[in-house]
Amino acid sequence: MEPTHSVTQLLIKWGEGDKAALDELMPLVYATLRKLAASYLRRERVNHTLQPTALVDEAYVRLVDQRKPSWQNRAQFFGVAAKLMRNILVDYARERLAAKRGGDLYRLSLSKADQVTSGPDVDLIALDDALNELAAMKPEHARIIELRFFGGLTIEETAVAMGLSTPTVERHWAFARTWLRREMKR
Amino acid sequence: MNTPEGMGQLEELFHLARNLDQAERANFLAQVSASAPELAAEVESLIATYEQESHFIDSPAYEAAASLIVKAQGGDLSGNSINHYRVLNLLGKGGMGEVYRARDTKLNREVAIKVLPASLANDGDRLRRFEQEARATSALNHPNILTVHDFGTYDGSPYIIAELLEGEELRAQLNEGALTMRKALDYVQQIAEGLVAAHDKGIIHRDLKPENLFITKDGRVKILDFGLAKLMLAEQSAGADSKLTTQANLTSPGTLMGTVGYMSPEQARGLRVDSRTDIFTLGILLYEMIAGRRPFEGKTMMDTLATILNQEPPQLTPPLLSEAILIDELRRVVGKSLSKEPDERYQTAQDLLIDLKSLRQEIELRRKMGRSESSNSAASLIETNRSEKSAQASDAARPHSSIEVIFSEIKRHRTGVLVTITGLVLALATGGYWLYRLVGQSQQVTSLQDLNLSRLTSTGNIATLPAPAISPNGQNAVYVVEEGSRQSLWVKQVATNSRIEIIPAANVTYDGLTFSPDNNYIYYALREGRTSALYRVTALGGAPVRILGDIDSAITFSPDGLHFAFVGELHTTLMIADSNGKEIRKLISRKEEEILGSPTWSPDGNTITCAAIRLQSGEAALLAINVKDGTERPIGSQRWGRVVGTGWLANGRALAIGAAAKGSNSLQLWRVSYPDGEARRITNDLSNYFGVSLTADATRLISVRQDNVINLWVSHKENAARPRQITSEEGLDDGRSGIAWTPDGRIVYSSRKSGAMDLWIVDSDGGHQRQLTFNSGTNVFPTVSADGRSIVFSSDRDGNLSLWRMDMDGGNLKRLTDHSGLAMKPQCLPNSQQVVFEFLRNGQSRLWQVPIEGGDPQPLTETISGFPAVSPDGKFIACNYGAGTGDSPLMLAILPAQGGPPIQLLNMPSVIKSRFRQWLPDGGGLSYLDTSDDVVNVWGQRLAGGPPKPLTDFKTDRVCYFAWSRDGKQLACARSRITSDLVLVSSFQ
Repeated sequence: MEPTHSVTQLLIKWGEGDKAALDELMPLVYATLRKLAASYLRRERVNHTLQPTALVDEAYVRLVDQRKPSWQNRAQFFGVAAKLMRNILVDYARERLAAKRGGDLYRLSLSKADQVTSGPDVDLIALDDALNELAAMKPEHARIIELRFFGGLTIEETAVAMGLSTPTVERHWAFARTWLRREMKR
Repeated sequence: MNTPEGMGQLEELFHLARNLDQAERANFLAQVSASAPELAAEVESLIATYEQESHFIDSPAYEAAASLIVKAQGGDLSGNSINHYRVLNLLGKGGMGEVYRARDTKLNREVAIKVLPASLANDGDRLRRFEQEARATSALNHPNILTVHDFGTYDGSPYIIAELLEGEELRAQLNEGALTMRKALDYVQQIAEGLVAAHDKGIIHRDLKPENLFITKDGRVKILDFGLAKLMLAEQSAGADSKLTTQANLTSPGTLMGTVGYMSPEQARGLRVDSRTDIFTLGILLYEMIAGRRPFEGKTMMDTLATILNQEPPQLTPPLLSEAILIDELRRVVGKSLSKEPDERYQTAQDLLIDLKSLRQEIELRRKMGRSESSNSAASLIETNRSEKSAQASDAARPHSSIEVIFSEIKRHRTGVLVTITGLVLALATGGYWLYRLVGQSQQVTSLQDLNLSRLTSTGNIATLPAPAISPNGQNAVYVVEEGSRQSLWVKQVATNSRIEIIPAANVTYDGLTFSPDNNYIYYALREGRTSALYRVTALGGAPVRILGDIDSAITFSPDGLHFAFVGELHTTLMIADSNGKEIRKLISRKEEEILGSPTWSPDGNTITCAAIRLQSGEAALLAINVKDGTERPIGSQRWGRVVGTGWLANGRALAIGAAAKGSNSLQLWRVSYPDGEARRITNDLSNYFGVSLTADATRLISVRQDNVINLWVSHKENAARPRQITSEEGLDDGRSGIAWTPDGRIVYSSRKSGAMDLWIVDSDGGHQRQLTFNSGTNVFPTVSADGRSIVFSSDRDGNLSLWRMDMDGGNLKRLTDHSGLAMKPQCLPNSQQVVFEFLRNGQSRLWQVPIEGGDPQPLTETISGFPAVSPDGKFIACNYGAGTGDSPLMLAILPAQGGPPIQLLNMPSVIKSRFRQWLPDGGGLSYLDTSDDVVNVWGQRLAGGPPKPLTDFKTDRVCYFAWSRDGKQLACARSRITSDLVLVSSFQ
């Protein structure tokens, strides 16, 4: 039995409000993301030219029957994946930090995959901490950051996934990331 | 403040503040500060952050996850010694490893050293093969390929020692924006030259991209990393999770090699690639250099891949207005390189190189001429808005060289012996040397039954895709009309002229058309991105209803009308749905290497047939699929070159299909018996037929017939604005392969109106039309002697194409040349009894001459030469002339008519490229065809220089041959027009 069907069904169930479905879903998605991330990393070492533009996209393709595209399914899936991506990346950054004891190796370079110039770096661990702080006060805002940044969802997709209007997500996003950035600089 | 309430307040103020301008904001913050100074400070600091770092965490985290690892890897080798190479400093990372400047202490020179990832060393075999390939490429010692000196392994990492280059990656130049056309063509030509050398040795690059192309300080392009892509690929697939990769082959990069934006479709699908993959990528590079952006772009890797697989790139616009005049030709070159089908691309880098060179020559010529282009370019820009489709259609129908014209004529019309030339024929043709492999094919010619074929439309603008459909009762036909990029949907009563527009013209693309079994509804697919959606509308018009999405074919109904079948999922899956488009079930699926054509349901309901098209070769096979269990088997063993429609005959014992036989471009209607698959022609003519739709009783079918209509026109010098058409509307290739004036003002021309290519004669007003040759194969390229008593022409009536002469009435025939070669394009000299002609022998063209009354032919030239044109005073011959080896560009030579070396060699690419040219009546220059536009006119170029001038002013269609009258006052032109009309075919069983 391919995992395809069960994941699709679980997403539908979860979408219908079945919280238990999420518990079942997480390990499946986690395993796939892990595997993919590992293969990306391996590949990356071999060949810098293959940028992981779409790790979650790929996980989605592998786990969910993409022949019947459903936007809601996709958004929900990305919601799950976003949480996991956060865990994976932050854990990784912590591991590196522990191993190297210093340096800025835990920073995530946000150079766009296809561009040569590199953008500003993000200190993942500091971001994670700030995000936790934000979540304590404004869980919805934190969730938007998680979906957008770790999950790679667009504003519109985030709105669908959270059942909010697009302008609301836009506003929260603008505020939350500004707040986080400022918090991280403190 | 760090409470949910505090945050809420903060956010509100933040949004208020960020929408104010600076003055308003200061004022606002001052007000807040009056009552809550702390809060105001918070807002102020947030706004500052907001304005400074508006892009913070804009790109998703996972996009950059890998950079983390790259950084972690670290490790600069500077200062170390690797064998006898002392590493000096790091030059760069990226591509496929790190590159350092190093000193070769043995040879005491500086070299570049590239250190590859250690993981590559694990597979010794692959590494050795890579080394072999890199050595072989390097051994070519080509100026456009990086020279590799040495290989080795250091600390587990393989390394390559190569020549040290100074300059920058092409990427660096592209980052500055688009290049000029001149520069872009220069670079691409250099890359193509490197590829020609490598491909000759069977070495494919597979990963060309701006990062792999290095521009040295003196402007030379060097291709880096040959063969490395393959090595990397092997490494990756070995490491990938095989179970998962097979499932997501299309989207998973685990099986993909090459940089996504620069992949060919076959690479993107993970199929086997050959040298043509590099040609596709070169097309991408050329596009990017000129447009300043890549032709295929997407937000994610998957989007990019989908674009490569399914979409045509946005049209190129010229970077400089002064280069606008050439944009059409450039688009053609780019378009051909970027064909999704490898078979439709340039087949070799050499072919591409030829077109690039002629484009460059044209640019140089224009630069030298330094003429003001602005008015011309504006015109050209407007013209280019014309439908690309029609340009493609005419391109397909238009042979590219005289030799091709000749052979297509011979192949089409010989009923007896076929011309068989084995090996390669090197022909001197338009714009360069073209290679044609003429494989002897046994053409099955059957006598066709009395076919009843009638034309239902005469507008000439019926879309060939989607194919039209006929209602089951045979009363109505539905079809799409194309005007530029706009399409409209029409229903026509078959028996009358009455027609209604169901959906008005809009900028949309229709896909498959089908009538409902009860004749009352029309189902049509409408493109939506990379797939289509199915709609239903009543046959009288009205509001369309959307039935389902993700469909890539026309639908076909089961005989009971309860279900329909269609192809979806990017052409890979045959599915059945109930008549409402619900309860979809998959019948068969294809892997990436094959796609499925539109299905047709058999009359007994048990079988569905469709074409399976192999992506790699483009070949198609007919499949019969069992509706119950999805088992499939081929119908016969025949492979088709192309299948454009299938339909069942009523008894279920045969199919009618629209198809081209393997190796042929001619789309004809065929009858294929079921189940044994024996094929028999229904039509066998010069038209192309697109689509097959049958009535329920299968007595009639409709299709779209596409014709190339060519008529003869005459214009007077005094009244150039009013040309007259002098041959009948049918236009059966009138004048396409030869026009000549007699001294008394009549016109001899080739035409197919007798059913074969014969010579005819007509008065310049269209009167007294008379056939001159009969029952004698292909007769083309007439030329009339100075005294007006003889016609010399090429004919294959007794074997190879040779020169013949005859009297003006067609009598007194005599062959002038033997069969040791092909004799073409004769030209009578005005002041002697000699004929100059092009003789293709041993694969090369030369000019020869022979007396009109017969005698020994004598060679006139000793290097490649062709397309002779004799000056009006008979003293000179202008011709295409290859001055040196195969590599040097063709020149326009002016030769003394009696033979000897060229008096003048001219670089006039547009004249050289013209399929036909003649001296201007005053002898001061040449008239030729400018084919760089959709509309082809006759142009004149003075030998003394100066800008070319248009001599005709046709606003539509393409001139394909012309001739000046003896007094130079009249011009006869053959003009070609592509038409496509609905045809009804009956009695084909």
